[in-house]
Amino acid sequence: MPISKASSNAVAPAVKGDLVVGTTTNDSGILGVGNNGDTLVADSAATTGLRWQGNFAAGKNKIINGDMSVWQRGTSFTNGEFTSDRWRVQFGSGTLTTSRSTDVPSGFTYSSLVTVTSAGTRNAADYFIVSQLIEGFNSASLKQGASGALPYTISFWVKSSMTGSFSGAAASGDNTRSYGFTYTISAANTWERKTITITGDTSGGATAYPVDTSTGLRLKFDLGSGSNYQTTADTWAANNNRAGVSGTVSFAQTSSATWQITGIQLEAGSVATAFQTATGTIQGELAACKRYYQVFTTGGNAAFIGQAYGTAAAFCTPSFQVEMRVAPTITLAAAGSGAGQMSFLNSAGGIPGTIGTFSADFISKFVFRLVGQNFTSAFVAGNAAALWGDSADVYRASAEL
Amino acid sequence: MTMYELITADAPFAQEVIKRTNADGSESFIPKDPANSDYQRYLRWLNGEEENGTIG
Repeated sequence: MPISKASSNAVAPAVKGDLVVGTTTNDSGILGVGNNGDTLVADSAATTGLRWQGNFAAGKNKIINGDMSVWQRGTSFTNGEFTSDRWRVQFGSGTLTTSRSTDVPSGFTYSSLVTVTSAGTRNAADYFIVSQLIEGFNSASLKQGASGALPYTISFWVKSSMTGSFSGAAASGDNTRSYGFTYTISAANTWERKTITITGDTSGGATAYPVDTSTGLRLKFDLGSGSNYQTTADTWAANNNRAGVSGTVSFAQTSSATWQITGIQLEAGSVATAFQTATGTIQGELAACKRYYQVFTTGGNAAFIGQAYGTAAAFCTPSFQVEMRVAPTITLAAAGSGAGQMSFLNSAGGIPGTIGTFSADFISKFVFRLVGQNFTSAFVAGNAAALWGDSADVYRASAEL
Repeated sequence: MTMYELITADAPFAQEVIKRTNADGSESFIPKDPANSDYQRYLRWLNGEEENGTIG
């Protein structure tokens, strides 16, 4: 078979990773080395017919709502618990206010902003932690807890009014093993991207890293916790409930200090690739969040049709918008006809004179029964009964880890 | 302060659930599902342990 002659225009790679590629008949050019984690794709519009592209693959990011796009519970919080979907802020003294912010690095819409509104203390038992718990079925592909455990890489954008060494930890699902990490914020009030690679944990087994609907892995960011919550940096250790390492910035102890974060990714391997949400779309990300928490709002109208089982009682059976992780806890709107309240409509389609009480039972991952009792002469037994709600939430269902 | 109460609705085929009155006065209903985190907290409260569970 004839061999084409080499072109006089042939070029040689200049650095590691450069590719020599054909550009036309008997000619070649250089495609410069790509960024870590980039994927090589064909592109007829490019001179070389190829180009590097950020690695986008649904499911690579084990963190749900890593871009802080979903806030079903509200957009500002002063109590320590869930804030943006899937993200929990816990503190043991002082007050941290968490809010949705549009101050973001390029390519993002929202970040989560934590502000110290009342400075805390840094005694041994004080804790200030932002965390996400990853369901065991989602973390399973990282193969933690036994030989063959994969390393994984955490990447995120962070900005703070304070500079210096901050920390966090990866922890086993049962919170008995932890790996502390540090990152440095070099410039105040400036977005910086950080990447941290965690060595795979070969100990702990299925007890520490269950592969089921319980917690399989934890990612924590520490904002100034005391020694009870500190672990060793850059190695796995057997200890309980650890979130950071010693010698870090006392953020939560500094009044008015701010720390904000977005673009959080946890992926298999030792390279941080371009950020992508866990599902790749807002539709998918919202549905993923609703597996753990969902809200139903009527828009100020009849919401569900049920049945009266007496003149004073009725029930209906709302279905969840997405199958939930486990049978959830149901929080109901208050009974009444005012703002943020709900009632069954009477047989004439109006608000009953006496609105009774509500409860929920037969709660499964898919549906629950909402029971209204102690109404006065409102219904005809056996007839349909409509549940009315003000424009606020009728129910909130939580199946959080 | 959070309060717990075992309740059964006066309804056909009623099922016992845990009613939790939250600090803001709202009411939540917790199924007896061992995988439900709020049910796990309720069991800890019942056993006199730290109700809030693990940190982080």
